[in-house]
Amino acid sequence: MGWTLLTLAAYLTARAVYRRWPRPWTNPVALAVAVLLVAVGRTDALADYQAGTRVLVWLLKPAVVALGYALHREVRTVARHAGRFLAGVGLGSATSLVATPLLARALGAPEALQRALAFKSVTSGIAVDLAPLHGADPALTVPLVILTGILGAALGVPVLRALGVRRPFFLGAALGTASHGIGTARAAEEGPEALAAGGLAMAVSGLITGLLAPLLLPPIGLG
Amino acid sequence: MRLVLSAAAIGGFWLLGEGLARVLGLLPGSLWGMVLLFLALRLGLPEGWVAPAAGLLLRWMALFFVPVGVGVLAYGPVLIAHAGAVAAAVGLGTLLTLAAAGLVGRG
Repeated sequence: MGWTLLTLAAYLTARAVYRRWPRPWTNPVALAVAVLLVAVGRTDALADYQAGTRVLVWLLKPAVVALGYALHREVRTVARHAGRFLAGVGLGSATSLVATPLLARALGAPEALQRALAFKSVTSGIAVDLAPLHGADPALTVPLVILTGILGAALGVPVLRALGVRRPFFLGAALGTASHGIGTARAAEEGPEALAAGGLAMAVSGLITGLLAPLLLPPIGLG
Repeated sequence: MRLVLSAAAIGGFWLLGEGLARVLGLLPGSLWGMVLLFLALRLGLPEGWVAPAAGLLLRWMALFFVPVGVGVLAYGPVLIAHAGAVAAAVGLGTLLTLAAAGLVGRG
C-alpha cells in the first residue's frame, strides 16, 4: 500500500509539473519514474516495490481493452483517408520493429536490448503485454518507449515538415505511430484533427506491431 | 452503479480476449480484448455500456505503467554500458519511423 501511494503521489506531482510546463521532456511518466528511482534506490528494494505496486500494473490490462472504446470514438476522423492512414501506420510500425533492433545490433548492443528496442514505438500499455511474448523484458522496454516518445515529440514536426508533410492529419498520424502518447500530446498543438489521428495511430500501430512481430522478428534472428 | 456495470463489461471483454489469446495466440489477451470491444461498438453495442469505466481507465493509464518503468533500475549497468548504441538506435530509429509513417502524407 505504501509503495502504491508513493507512486500515486509521484505521478500526481509530475502531472502538475507537466501541466505547468508542457514539454516533451517534462513527460509525467518520465518525471515520476525518475523520482521513484531515487526513492526505491537500490536493486534489492526493487522486488519489494514491484510486489507493492502489483495492483496498479494489473489495471493496465483493462486499460488496454478500453483503448478499443477510444478507437471507436475516433475512427470517424480517419474515414476520409483510411487507406493512406493505414499504409503510413503500417510502414512506420514495420520500420520501427525491424530497423531499430538492427541499428542497435550494428552498434554492438546485446540481444536483450535489441529485443526491447523492437517495441520502442509501441504505447507503453500495449508494450508491457506485447514485449514478453517476443522475449523482451517490459522493465527494459518501457524506459526506451518513453525516450522514443520524448525524442519523436521534440523532433517530429520539424522533420516531417522538412519531408513535405504539412497536413495536420498526417503530422498527427506519423507522430502517433513513431511516438505514441507523448507524440500525440505534441500533435494536439497542431489542432484537433492531428490529435485524433495521433490517438488512433497510437492504438492501431500497437495492434499492427503485435500482428507483424511474429512475421518480421524471426527473419532478423529475434524470433 | 453505471461505473460498476461498465467496469464489469470491460472485464468481460478482457476475459473474452484472454480466451482468444489462449486459442489463437499471436496477441496478448488485453489486445484481443481491445479488438473485440472495438468491433462490438462498431456493430452497435451502446457506448454508454462501457463509457464510464473506459473513460476512467484511459485517463489514468499513464499511472499504471509507472511501476514498470521503475524496473529499469535492474538494467542500469547494461544501459550505461551501451548508452551510445541505445541513443543512436532510438534516435535514428525514430527518425526512420517518422519518415516511413509520414511518407504517405506528403503534399
